[in-house]
Amino acid sequence: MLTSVLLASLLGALLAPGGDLVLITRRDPGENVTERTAVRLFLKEKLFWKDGSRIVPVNLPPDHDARETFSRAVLKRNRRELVEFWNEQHFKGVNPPVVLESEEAVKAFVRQVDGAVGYIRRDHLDPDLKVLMVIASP
Amino acid sequence: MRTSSTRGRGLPRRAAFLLVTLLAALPAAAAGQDASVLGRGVALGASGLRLGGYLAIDWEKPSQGDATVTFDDLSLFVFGDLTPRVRVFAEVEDSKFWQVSGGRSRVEHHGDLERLYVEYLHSDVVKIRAGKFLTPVGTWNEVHPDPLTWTVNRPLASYATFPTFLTGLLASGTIDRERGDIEYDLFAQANPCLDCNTNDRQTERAIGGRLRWHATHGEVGVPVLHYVDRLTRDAVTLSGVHAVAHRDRLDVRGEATIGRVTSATGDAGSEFAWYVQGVWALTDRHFLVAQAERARSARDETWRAWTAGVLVRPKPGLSLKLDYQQRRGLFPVEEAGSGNRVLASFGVLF
Repeated sequence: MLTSVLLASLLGALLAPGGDLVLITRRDPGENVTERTAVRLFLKEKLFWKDGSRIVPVNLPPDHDARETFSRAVLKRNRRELVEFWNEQHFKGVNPPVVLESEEAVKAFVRQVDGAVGYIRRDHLDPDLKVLMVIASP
Repeated sequence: MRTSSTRGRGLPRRAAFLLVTLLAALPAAAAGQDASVLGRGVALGASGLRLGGYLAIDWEKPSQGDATVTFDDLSLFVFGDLTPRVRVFAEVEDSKFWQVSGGRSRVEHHGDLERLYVEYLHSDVVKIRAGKFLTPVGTWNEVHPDPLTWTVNRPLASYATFPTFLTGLLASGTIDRERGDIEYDLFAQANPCLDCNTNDRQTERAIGGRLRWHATHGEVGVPVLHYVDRLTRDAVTLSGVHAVAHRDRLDVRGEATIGRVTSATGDAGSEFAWYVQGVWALTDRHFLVAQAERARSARDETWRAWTAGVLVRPKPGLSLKLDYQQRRGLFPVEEAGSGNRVLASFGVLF
């Protein structure tokens, strides 16, 4: 039994693409998060979870591999397009998501702040965090 | 508003020196900073508020006549979320405050209150804004600062046929759909305007709305608006459409409005304005721009223009533009003159 579990885990690890990301929160927000929802979360078009709590998205630095993967796979915008988007939002009075230096910082922030949502590489995931969505690396 | 005027030959040199200094210093200052610094404002302590703004300097050389340098806009805005559900925004602007032309200069300050509102975020579907805000018609009007637009001049369809600011109530919201969001805006004004001079078309009575569908690579919107012009007493019923599509290096957008104008004496006529604009990104910093626009007033005056230009964004938040524009005809707003001209501008968003 133990052997088969270990083999299955090993096989899963070998087959899983190394650059996959996971979208994480502290608790289940009670709603289905699709790729379109993830776009709206990180462009601050969706401000509230279903239970009425304010959503607090957190980003990684612009040159972080996971952020580049996230921008390409989910937001489907390059860096220039995102800069233009946030410059326009600045004029409308909307700030971009908070930027944290590392995936460890994202996990700590998500654990502490109600409504926070972030993304990290799947192999950095801790068991106490709720996975909203798995993002396959393009 | 405070106004002063100075004329003389000493100021053009100072203006030129200041312009050159700004042009040289701002990109240099930005170069030493993270790309995210310009265009993000600065935090006002631990208040949760941020201070931002923009500056635009224009140069215009008509085919006949002297070149003019205009320090066109100096805008400062403060905004932030006071609580998770309450958002505030205030903007003041000094426009066309220093003009230098033909060896003469003029200083004239117009301290305008552009926006002042508080917004209650009940949910994603219902947000209520009260105060003075930009009228949600088209896309250009709500994002009009020089550093964020593609041409030096602003198309007539984005401001000349409706009040660009309203002082009243705005309800807005988003209905989330997997194939793109549907957004609505409903607005009304039935009171005096705050600082009316910011509008070419001033109003104290207006009602309207806009329905907008937007997805990752574009959007389409349909506004309707009825208002009474405060100065002429004309009643205008306006409808329109806007569309934006962008993919890879190409951005194509356009707006059109058509209005039924009924004068206080009962005479009726129609007016329209439209523009179409294409932008091709040569690189992440260099762009080619082409724009066509046309307008007709309720008095059957017609106006059309073609613009071709280049835009350089050396850093996010900075823009340098050079446009050539052909204009023919007449329309009753200041910018709608006749004759060809070359325009240039420097803009910085901070």
